[in-house]
Amino acid sequence: MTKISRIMSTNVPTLKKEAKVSDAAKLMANKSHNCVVVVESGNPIGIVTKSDIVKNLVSKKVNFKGKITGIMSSPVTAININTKLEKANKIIDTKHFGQYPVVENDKLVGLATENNVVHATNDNITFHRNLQNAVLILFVVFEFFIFILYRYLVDYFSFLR
Amino acid sequence: MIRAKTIMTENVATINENSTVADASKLIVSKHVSSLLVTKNSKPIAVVTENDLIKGALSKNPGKVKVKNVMNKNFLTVNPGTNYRDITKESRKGKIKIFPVVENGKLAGIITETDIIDATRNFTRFHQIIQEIILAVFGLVTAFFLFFFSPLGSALFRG
Repeated sequence: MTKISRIMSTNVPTLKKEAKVSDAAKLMANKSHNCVVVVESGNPIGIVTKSDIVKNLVSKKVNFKGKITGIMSSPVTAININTKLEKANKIIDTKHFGQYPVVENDKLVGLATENNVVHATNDNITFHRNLQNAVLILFVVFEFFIFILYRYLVDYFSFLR
Repeated sequence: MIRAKTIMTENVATINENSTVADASKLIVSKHVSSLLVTKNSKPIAVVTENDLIKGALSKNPGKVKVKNVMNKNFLTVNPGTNYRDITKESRKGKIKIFPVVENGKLAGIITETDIIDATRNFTRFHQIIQEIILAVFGLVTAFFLFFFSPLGSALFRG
């Protein structure tokens, strides 16, 4: 079974908790990341998504000079690096977030997106389906020989009698 | 076969290219979407995403920036009959994430990453169920065959 470490992206945009909202905005606008993880000595303590920033632009509660801790979602739902894909899917089903920091001994090591997990699961299923169908076909052929052609086999090979 | 028509969202959040970025931000927040379709005469001409709005807000005169200054053309128009596989393939390449569905020159709906994720998940579940049914039927048939050819089965069925 595939582990989350195989599908996560290791290139995670991070910011310290003293950072400003504008830092997060610049980081996300220049790169194609959907979120920034706020870390404190390696531990993920919060997450800021693009929609968080847009929402705050509209509500004007926090401007670009405000602290990032004011708009981040905290605490984060982190996934352990050894989590299997099925378990990750269950977490996504219950939490319905888009991004999940991946941790190893509580330290941030990667980022798993809902998109990656769902597509990887689909690929897995497709692979398993093909494998299963191949096994089924082999089995059908085997059964055909054993059950249908048994009497002819007995006739043909005298030692079977 | 899954078609674009089945997975699309019919209620499309659209905006005029002359609107301001602030209006677009308000619309994005109130409609709970991640991108808006910029339309002209009810035809899609561009898209504006959260990323573009943040870029616009970071510029020197955030109040004066209009949607047409920040919008991008990373979208691909599809028919209602386009195959789901083709859309997923294009989306997984990474650049294009928004697929407006146009029928007879009219905007009929939109397919975004969320729709693709939901469809993929449902597709996966559906296949798991089908696969399990096939295995169950096959197992029962095999068990019956084994029983039929066993001594007890021969006594029961063939006298």
